[in-house]
Amino acid sequence: MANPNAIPMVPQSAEQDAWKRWLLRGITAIVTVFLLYVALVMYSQAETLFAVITLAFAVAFAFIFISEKAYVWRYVFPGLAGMMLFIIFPILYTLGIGFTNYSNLHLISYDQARGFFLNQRYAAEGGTAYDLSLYEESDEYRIALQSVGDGTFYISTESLPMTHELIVEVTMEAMDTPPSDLVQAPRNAAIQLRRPLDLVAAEMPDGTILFKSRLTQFSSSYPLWLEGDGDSLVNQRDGSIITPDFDRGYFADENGNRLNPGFTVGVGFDNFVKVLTDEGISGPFFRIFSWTMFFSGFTVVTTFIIGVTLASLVQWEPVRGRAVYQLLLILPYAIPSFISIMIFRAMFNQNFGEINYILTSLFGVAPNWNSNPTSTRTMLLMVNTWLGYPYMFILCLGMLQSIPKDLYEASGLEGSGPFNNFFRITLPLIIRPLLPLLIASFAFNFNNFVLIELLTRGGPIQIGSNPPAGETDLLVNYAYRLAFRGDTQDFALASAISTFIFMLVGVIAFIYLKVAKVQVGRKPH
Amino acid sequence: MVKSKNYFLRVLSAHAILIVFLGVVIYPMAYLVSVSFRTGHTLVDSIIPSNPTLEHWYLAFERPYVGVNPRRIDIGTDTIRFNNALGTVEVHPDGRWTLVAAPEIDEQYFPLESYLNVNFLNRVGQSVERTERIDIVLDLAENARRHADSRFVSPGDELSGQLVIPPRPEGATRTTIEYGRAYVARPNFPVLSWLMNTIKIAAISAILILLLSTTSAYAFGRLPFRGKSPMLKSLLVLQMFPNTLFLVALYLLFDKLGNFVGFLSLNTHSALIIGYLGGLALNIFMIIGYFDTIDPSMEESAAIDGATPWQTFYKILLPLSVPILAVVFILAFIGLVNEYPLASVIISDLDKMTLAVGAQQYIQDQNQLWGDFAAAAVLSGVPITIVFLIAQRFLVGGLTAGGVKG
Repeated sequence: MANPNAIPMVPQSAEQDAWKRWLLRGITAIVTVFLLYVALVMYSQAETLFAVITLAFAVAFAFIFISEKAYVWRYVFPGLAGMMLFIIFPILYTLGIGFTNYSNLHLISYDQARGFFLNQRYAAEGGTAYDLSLYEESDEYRIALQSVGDGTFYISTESLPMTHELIVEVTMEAMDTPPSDLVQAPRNAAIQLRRPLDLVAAEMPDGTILFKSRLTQFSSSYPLWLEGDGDSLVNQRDGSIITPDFDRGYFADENGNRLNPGFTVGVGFDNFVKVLTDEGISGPFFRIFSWTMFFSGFTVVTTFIIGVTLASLVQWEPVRGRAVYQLLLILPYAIPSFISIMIFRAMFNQNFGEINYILTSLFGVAPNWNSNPTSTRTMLLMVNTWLGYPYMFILCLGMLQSIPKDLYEASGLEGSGPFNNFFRITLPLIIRPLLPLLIASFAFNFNNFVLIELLTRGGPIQIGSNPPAGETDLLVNYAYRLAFRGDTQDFALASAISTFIFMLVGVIAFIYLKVAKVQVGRKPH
Repeated sequence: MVKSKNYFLRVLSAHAILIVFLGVVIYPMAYLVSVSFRTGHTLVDSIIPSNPTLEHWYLAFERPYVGVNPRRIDIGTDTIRFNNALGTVEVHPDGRWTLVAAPEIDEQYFPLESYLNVNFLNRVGQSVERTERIDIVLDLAENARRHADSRFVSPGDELSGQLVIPPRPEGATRTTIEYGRAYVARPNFPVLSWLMNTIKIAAISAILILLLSTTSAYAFGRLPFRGKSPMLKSLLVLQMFPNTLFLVALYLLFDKLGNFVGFLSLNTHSALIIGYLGGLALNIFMIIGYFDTIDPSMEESAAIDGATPWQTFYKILLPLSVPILAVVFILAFIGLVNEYPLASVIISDLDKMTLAVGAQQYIQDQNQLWGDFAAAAVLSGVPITIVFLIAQRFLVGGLTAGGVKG
């Protein structure tokens, strides 16, 4: 008999559906137009790579949210796009930077560096000089110039906010007397505003362009560099010639001296070769690599041993107050790590810390936690064990609960003790499902940037390393140090190190996939 | 069952091991609380502060703190004169004293407190005997009644009294006037804004992460499409690459994007929130794992009744999955509160920082404000810790699901 409830439902209202569909289309259109606009702006500013990526993104977005065929992808696209943009693209970008000389000495492109030289000007000897004064006009400034020779007074037709970072041109007009309706700025204003004033080109009524030649003087100026043969530039003042060196990324004069700013060029495998062969880098690199492996391996083993021991004790039924123990044992995991790491930094303080106080009063020793590599590393291992055991504890607790109790009853009848039980029953049963998690923990500690950064900042510095490398740096911290610390900011070398890390993490991930036997979707019944 | 002596010994030693271990776990936290109540920024003191103060706590709540510092001056045969921050004090050799209160102190710091007493010291500067304190309070005239226990003075007025100087006791070699110098400590760092920033950023990112990973998990778990299995495997590999590995690229990426899209520029919260959206993979796996435990027959019958995939997802699957959604949200939230590397690279303004980055500002190489750090850390760490402990019973399931069954 037909059940009336089984009649397929009629879609609630066809009209509402149409309304919803058009709303979806409208939103899609707005987002797409916005993305296309961004792509256009990027293209106009010569960021072709970014423009192409944005364009592809816009097209994919529009297609997925309009076409019925791509329906499924509507659910996946936003998440995948986020991962593309903030994981995959940065990884590829990092790989790319590793093949260039990108650093704070080579930040800009060749065209920008060339433009920088061509924009430089010099004040001509014997030309007319003009004294500079500034007039305030509602937070902005008008530039006034008075000829040193005949005293003619000129003032800019518009005022400037003095926040520009590129050269701005102002038109000057002659005036009989200084304006009475404007307030002259104090003399030190010209000193405070010297940087923006360097970038002011004053166009006089006769068409000559004046630049600042001294602190409070403008004079007629000429381009310092003019294009010579090929790519070379000729200095107009002393006739010297500079040519771009495309292998090393900077302009050099006839004697081979470099002129800043340099520019970014591809250098092939130079950075990788440097990491493996350069004396100041390869030594520290391999030292850091082995320390990183030891640190992660040691941490996984000790945290596991402590975690499984505590879990077995807390799991043991005769022990009362197990819920309280469990809650308190998880505490190190619950406290934000940026706080707990700093607590240990205070406790391990060389002169005032609790740890050295206790060690001195008990054993009369005071290890140097800041400058001795061995004790610094020991400190890191102890702190990381403290931070990491609760994770293993929680995992083991879950695993132990799933072991059938009758196994222990049976072994108890045979007269087996607790240690025998642990090594013959518990460990074999939990190690198999825990293995992938242990590998994941290894990978996490391999990149445990925050611990090192907050506790030791990688210090002490390794002797003989150049650029500086820390004794306790992990590979990630070494890359971070190269990129963001010190005065070189060698992004390219940092990216080469990161590339090595990618490969190592890739290997770990491969092992993980093998061990974990990833299964996707519902298991067949 | 007969319980042997051996058995009780074992239970006892289990307790002993656990308690000793708990000591190691809890001592650092007690230490942090202790530092937050110590006077000054000292690390050397007993676990119960010898000279407790609320100064660091006032500063953590972004309020100015008015305190007194003990100072000493030797009494000789001349009149001594000093400033105790309430005004100028003159003490004559016979113990008569006058205070001329400064007229120009800002009202918001009232009441300012100080005291006077005589302290006899021995050769090494230790106190042998103290006379009773004379407490002095500076406040507006209309508040005089509130300070009945102390000598009261209002701004610009004069106050005088007599300090009893007993004969020097045995063992003492110096007679000193001890006085409290009032001071006002102003908060250096916007701790409460950091807390608000952190909660705002972590909550918005966690909601967006939850949204994106739930829809993705639905597609991966329930809908058929090509390339599903290799995509899932690459997700699993990707989650092993933390963003610390490509910080340089992320920094340069936001530097570039900021030129074109305002809300993605460096030093904005929106850029940080968007930057966190890369970390989805693990959450997707946790949700797929949960979806796998839900029988699909209900959704199938809804589909037969004419429901669209969106309707089955929204009206049937989601209400059944609330527990895992809560777990994912809490885990993501806590993870983001703790996140340090990306936040430290993207945010540079002091008042835009998150707690993880801001807390580091207390401890510079030359200036280590441990006391202020401790108070701010306890203040901000307690709510996060409580949220975590409430959520911890979900964790056992959540963490193992993330690792995919072996």
